[in-house]
Amino acid sequence: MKVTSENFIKHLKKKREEALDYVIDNYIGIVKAVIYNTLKSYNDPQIIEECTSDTFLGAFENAKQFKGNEEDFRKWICTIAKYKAIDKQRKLYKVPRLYEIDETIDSVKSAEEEFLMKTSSEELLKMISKLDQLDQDILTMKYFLNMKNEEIAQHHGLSKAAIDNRLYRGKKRLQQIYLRGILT
Amino acid sequence: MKKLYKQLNRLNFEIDVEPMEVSELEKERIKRSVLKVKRKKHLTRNFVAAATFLIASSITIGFSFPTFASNIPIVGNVFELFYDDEEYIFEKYDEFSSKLGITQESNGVEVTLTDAVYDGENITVAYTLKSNQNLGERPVLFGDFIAEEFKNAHKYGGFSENYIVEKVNDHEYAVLFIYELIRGPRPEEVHITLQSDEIVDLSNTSQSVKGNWSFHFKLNTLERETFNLAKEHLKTEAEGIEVSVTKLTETSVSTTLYFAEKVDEELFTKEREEWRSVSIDYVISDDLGRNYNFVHYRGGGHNTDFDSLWSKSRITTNVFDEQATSITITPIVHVNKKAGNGGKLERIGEPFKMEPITVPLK
Repeated sequence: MKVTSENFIKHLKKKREEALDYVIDNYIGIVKAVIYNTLKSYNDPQIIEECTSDTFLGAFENAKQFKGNEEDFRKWICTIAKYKAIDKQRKLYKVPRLYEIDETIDSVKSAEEEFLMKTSSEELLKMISKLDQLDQDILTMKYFLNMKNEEIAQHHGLSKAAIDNRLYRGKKRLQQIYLRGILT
Repeated sequence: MKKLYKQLNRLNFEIDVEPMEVSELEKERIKRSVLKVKRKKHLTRNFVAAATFLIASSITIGFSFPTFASNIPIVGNVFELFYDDEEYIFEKYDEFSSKLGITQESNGVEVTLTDAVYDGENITVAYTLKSNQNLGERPVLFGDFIAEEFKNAHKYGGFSENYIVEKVNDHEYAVLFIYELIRGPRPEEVHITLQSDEIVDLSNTSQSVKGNWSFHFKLNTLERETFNLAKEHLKTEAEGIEVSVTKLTETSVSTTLYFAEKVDEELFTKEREEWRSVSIDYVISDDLGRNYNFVHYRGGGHNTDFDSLWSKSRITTNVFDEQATSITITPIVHVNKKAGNGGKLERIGEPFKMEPITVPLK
């Protein structure tokens, strides 16, 4: 069996190792770049490598959830890479970390932001899935892909104010859902 | 976590970056680490599909089928089709099975579910495939087998699937699908959905026939009795290996033996550099000299690196002979190495026969 650009998605869905091999060979450069852009401040090649492996494993194990062609696949695996990198960042955030004296320390975060950073991805995802589709998209981009509000606005063809507003309401909803989860 | 990947796909979101240079060494490291995790996880999960039956050789070797005259019509007792000359694990199935008799046709392939048995340990479904097309050597329905009552409890490594296929003639096949419940609940009653959009030839998985077959049915469990043997010290040891029998479950149609296998692969294979795996086959016989056929679930594999030396495996065999007073279990140990890149395994060296374990029957 020869894995080619035409059939690799099909074989990946069937969990063929050859397809995984093909995907790693062809996408490793771009996956690494996405991860590197997010995690370069940690200056730790090992973290980047770990994240890269996680990305391919994630894509492999969840290939069944993917729909689309080769071009969509490229977008998908990049988005997974971005997500894995943010997820890593979120985990590292919980670990005390040494700052260089001259490094710019993250700007002060609001309590909500702090909460969202500390909530595990799973919990967050569960809560987000209770919102409507557009809000799900926006919050996924915001918290799983750490995109700026402007970028999200651009992607959806909405104004930044509309995104700000939706994020604000979305966060409120999440808080309600979260509290309900604790209280019941 | 499942929906996230779908959501990420749905976003259809473009990240604008230039690919980076990746050294061959790094690529190799990543491949290795992905495959390592994957193997560890999938050994249990995709027992049938992933290993393309290489690891599962005992199942195929364990059953030798008598040849059938090509004109046997498939009516009545399907289990009988699989009868071995001597004994076979489905010996008593016909008596206890629920007759289903549901037929569906799609894309020129007629699928008839004939019987099913749920004994609390395994769900066994017998079906026939009829088609004018060539379906290959070992065609089976490939798709989802869902029991509402299990919810997600069996999802990750909680079950194992086995198929036994008998080619009746050029256009007819009989298939036994065995769904082994490894972990999770064993409810009294199960509502099952068997859904498939593909018939795949297990001997040549690139060959498949698309279609749409979907079945629903309900099964009640048979009576069963479980004996906990963990404290009986029924075990056998060799350097780097320890095998013990922990549990025995008897139902009206079968007996299931649960094993705990402890293998230190490095110690046993005396190989610290190259990757080696150890697999254990069993020979089951009674004191009357009768050998039993069985379906073998191999458990999670052993691994020295991951500090997980234990694997829980199990064997489902016929009901033991009423006259027998004890059962002898002989573990036979094989060492495997990787053959080529595809993750296929190759056995090396002579199999090692361990001292047998004797289990007294009351």
